[in-house]
Amino acid sequence: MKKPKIKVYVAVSLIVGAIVYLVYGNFQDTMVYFYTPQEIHEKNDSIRHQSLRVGGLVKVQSLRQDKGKLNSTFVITDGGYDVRVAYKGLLPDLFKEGKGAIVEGKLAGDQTFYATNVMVKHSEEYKPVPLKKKGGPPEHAQ
Amino acid sequence: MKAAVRMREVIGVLALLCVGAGLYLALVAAPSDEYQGNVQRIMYIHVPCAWNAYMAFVGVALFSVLYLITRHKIWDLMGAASASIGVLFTGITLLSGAIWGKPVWHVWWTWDARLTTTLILFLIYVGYLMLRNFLRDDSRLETYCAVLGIIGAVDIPIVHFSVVWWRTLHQPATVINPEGVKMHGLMLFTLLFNLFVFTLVYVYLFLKRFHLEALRWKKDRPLEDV
Repeated sequence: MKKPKIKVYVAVSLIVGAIVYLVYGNFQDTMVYFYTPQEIHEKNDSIRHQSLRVGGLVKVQSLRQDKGKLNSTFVITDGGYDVRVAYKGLLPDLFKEGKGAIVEGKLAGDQTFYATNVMVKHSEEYKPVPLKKKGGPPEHAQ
Repeated sequence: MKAAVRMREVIGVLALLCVGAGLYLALVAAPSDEYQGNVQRIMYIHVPCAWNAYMAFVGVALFSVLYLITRHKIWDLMGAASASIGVLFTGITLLSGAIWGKPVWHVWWTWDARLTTTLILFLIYVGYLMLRNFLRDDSRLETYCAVLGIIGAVDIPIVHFSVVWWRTLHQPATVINPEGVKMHGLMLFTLLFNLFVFTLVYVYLFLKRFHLEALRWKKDRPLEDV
């Protein structure tokens, strides 16, 4: 009966190890999955050059892109505070001014947030395509 | 016994027919989403799978409690049946979520609270199934698994409320929303219908799996009675 016992210990320690790793390895970051622009302003110096995420709305009329659409700058806002973001790469299909976005990257000395990844945070609300638009797919997705 | 088997197979056929109707609603009848387009249709699979996972693991916890009270093997076998179905549906939830996440969020995976706690839920019950396997010939199998089955269920409300308790990339609940249901008409009907269909599928798979677990257990004990 000794053999299964060792197996059990190995299995249990593997599972516990995996859970502890997930909780302490990632959950500490996950607790504050993203900062708001206000928190970025408050913490400014202490978080500079650290990898983190900023989330909020893409400020209306803040998006500037070069011709090939591979270099973009835009502003993430929480209504009161703004964070200027620079991103090199294709923006997500559903990225839109006035909609939610979460960016991953680092805040540089020039107060610009250099994003290495841009994600779209969408709402929990779903609506059919309005009748007028029917026949064609909606603007962004197919 | 024969009537029970017939009943199970009737549920199976009914589930199969409903899956067809559910797929038709999800892929053809329901309108595409204004913002996300057709990708949003993944929701009609993703949400029912998550629902089945919750249901299956609540089942495991319930059967585990009943086992600890009555010490009757039948509850342990039911727990085993429910756990394997829960692991299956949690797996499909994680996969369909990734497939939905890539076009909509722009990432397959991210370590936000909803995704992380769901992965933990998956690992807990993979662990539960591994424990069953390792303790196959051990008289403590039922008790150990029942305890794990109950402790594991603690993660279910954590998964569900993760989008409320923490900032996440994942959006909050659409149907069980404090501000009211955020979906209407045929879209809502399609989702609710598919929740019902997947529940039927769960019931059928559970009965089938339980039968299998019972056969497997009896096979090793030809002289005992269940």
